[in-house]
Amino acid sequence: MKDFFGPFTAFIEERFDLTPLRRWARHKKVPQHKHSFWYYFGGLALFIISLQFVTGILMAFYYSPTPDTAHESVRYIMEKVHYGWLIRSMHFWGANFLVAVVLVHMFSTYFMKAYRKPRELMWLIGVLLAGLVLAFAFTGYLLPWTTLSYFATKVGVNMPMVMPGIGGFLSRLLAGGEDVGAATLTRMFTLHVVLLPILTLVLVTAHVFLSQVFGSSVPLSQKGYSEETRFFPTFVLRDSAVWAGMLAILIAFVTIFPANLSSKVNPVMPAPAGIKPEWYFLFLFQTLRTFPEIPAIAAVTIGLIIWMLVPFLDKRSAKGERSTFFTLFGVAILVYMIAMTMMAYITTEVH
Amino acid sequence: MIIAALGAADSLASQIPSFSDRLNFSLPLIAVLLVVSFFLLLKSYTVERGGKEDVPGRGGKDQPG
Ligand code: HEM
Repeated sequence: MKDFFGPFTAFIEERFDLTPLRRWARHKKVPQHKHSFWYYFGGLALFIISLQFVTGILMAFYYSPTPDTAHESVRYIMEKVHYGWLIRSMHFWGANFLVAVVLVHMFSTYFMKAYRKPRELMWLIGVLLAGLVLAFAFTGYLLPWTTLSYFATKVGVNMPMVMPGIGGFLSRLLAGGEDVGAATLTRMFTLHVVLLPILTLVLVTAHVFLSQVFGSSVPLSQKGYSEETRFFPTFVLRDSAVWAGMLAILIAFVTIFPANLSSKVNPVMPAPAGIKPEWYFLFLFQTLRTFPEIPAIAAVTIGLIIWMLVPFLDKRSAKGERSTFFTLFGVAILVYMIAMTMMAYITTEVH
Repeated sequence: MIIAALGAADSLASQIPSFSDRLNFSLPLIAVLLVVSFFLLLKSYTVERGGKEDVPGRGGKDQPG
């Protein structure tokens, strides 16, 4: 291996001083303790998001974002393009896995209090990234221009309406008009393939850069129990093993359940009965159905702001003390989200 | 919609490669990935136990901290 790369390494080394990089690779350590398992999820999110970029770019070669051609171009990808069904199905399942992995990563770093000083910015950027991942899912959903995606997007872009004052403006901004139509499709497309990727690249770079600067945190409960392994090669090898396993799982899913393409938009048709959003939006959907709209939106907004500011509110864990209150707060949020999601499944028929 | 996808996955089945064709393509790929994954995991334990001299190109100069 070394001989194979030898000439290449020599070329670089004659031109650049790699000593700092070598020293960094040699010294970087990853703590090992009872909860180290959770450290794999950040890297896993990084892997899946990279796959989404690759499969998304491949589809962009064929996709065409107009009401007349969108559905047809996706059908073409599925039926005519070599391995198109594979690429689109990987993008579909990749999106679902990405949301799940990011949620696990967010809650695991929360419960390990990894957000505490000095990693407050990593947490803030993380929350923004979670928002971006959900925005990707929302904007991507309309692109195949199916009846289902049309009506689901309608529900989504109308959501801000309940906000007093700026609600109507926000809805029109999202839809590009009074109703979901051609302008909405180009808008979602541009967000999905231009704006969101740029923001995500910048924020992921910052997040991962900070994770290298600070290294992984050790949960308060594990202080003193923690050993260290080397980042290179040990942790890199294990990360790669997890990534290869993830890819195997993804390919298995794609093979057994290839992405579906339901019928094309027909706006004159009434909304299909029992329409409901993707699983990761169900807790929001159910919240709006269960409680009066304005207090519900106000509560969600306040909850989100508290969630973002947790590193600054949780003064005890910043000082290295246990903060049971914030653990319970996290448990409450998690239980609420799971309960609302289950309720949404139970109370709407599955189509 | 996962549930919808599971239920309706086959509505396209006639136009995309059949399940057995898909399997023929995926199974070897999955097998290779699992072997690679296992090998990488194994390697991570042998470099850990085998001591520091196993790091390619930086023979044993590893010091903690
Ligand atoms: C696309 C989304 C994301 C990617 C690619 C990503 C990537 C990573 C990576 C590679 C690490 C270092 C390894 C690890 O500790 O897991 C990390 C750490 C971390 N991430 Fe994320 N992350 C994402 C989203 C989030 C979210 C949504 C949050 C929380 C709101 C978050 C908060 C953190 C924190 C606090 C750490 C430090 C963990 C520690 O040092 O123990 N990240 N992230």
